[in-house]
Amino acid sequence: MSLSSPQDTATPEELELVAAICSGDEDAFAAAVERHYRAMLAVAKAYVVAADVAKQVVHDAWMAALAESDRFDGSTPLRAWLLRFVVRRAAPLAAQPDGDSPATAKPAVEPDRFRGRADAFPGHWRAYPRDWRALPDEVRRGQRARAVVEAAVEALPVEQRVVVTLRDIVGCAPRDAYDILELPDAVARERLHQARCRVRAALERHFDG
Amino acid sequence: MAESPDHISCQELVELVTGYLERALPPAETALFEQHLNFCEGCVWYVDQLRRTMAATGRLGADDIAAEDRDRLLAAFRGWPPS
Repeated sequence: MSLSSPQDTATPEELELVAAICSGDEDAFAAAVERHYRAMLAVAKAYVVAADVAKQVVHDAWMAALAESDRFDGSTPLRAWLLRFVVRRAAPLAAQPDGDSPATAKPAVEPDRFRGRADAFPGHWRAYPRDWRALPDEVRRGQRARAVVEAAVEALPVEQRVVVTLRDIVGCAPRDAYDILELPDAVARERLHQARCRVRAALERHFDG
Repeated sequence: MAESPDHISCQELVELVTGYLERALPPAETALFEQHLNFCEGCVWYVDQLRRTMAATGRLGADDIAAEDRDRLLAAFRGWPPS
């Protein structure tokens, strides 16, 4: 479930909403909270495990955003602008440092699943991965598969979990997700790659038994 | 990248798949990627697995706001006088 459709800049309606908030319109503020709180909490939880800490991070992020609301210029979608306040507060609280971790980079697929250099087709599959389209829907989308995905996302290093949360759970556009994290594109994309490949591998182990 | 610039192997493709799905590959690599998919069913299935993984992660979703957290934010807003 994507929480929003990706967009490049704020909509005129978002600019009006923020202007109303700046003028003290509580209904406008409540509407913004309704629309963006879930995404903000999801991102906070990607950094900090404890629910009460994550909620406090989101509360503080709203207060910080309010304090700077007159500076919202619409150059990013409102959600992306709000999420930056979450990241700034949550990142220092993360259990692991939110830095580069090249040591943890793994191949997307175990190298022994591909033919070696001496083989006829080096680098090609020894045996094809399974066609998941042939799996029954209740296996592919059932509670057990969901639990596997949830556990795999929880087991990710924090810097990978954050980017996959922004892209695949919150549904931020790539540009917005990378900007929110203030990361070079290549770094953010490599973390996303690691994250998605690890979750895929967990699902594959589950499906292949 | 590939030793031969005219094709990529399956092992190379699985490392390019995020760049491809994020539409971040240079045009030449995108062409090699798609050319590979044209003849390799295993990699078509692999890319499909990745897309389904992304969708499954998306279905984890996010928690709704708790009433007490909403009330606390609205109360804080009332105490936030716009200048």
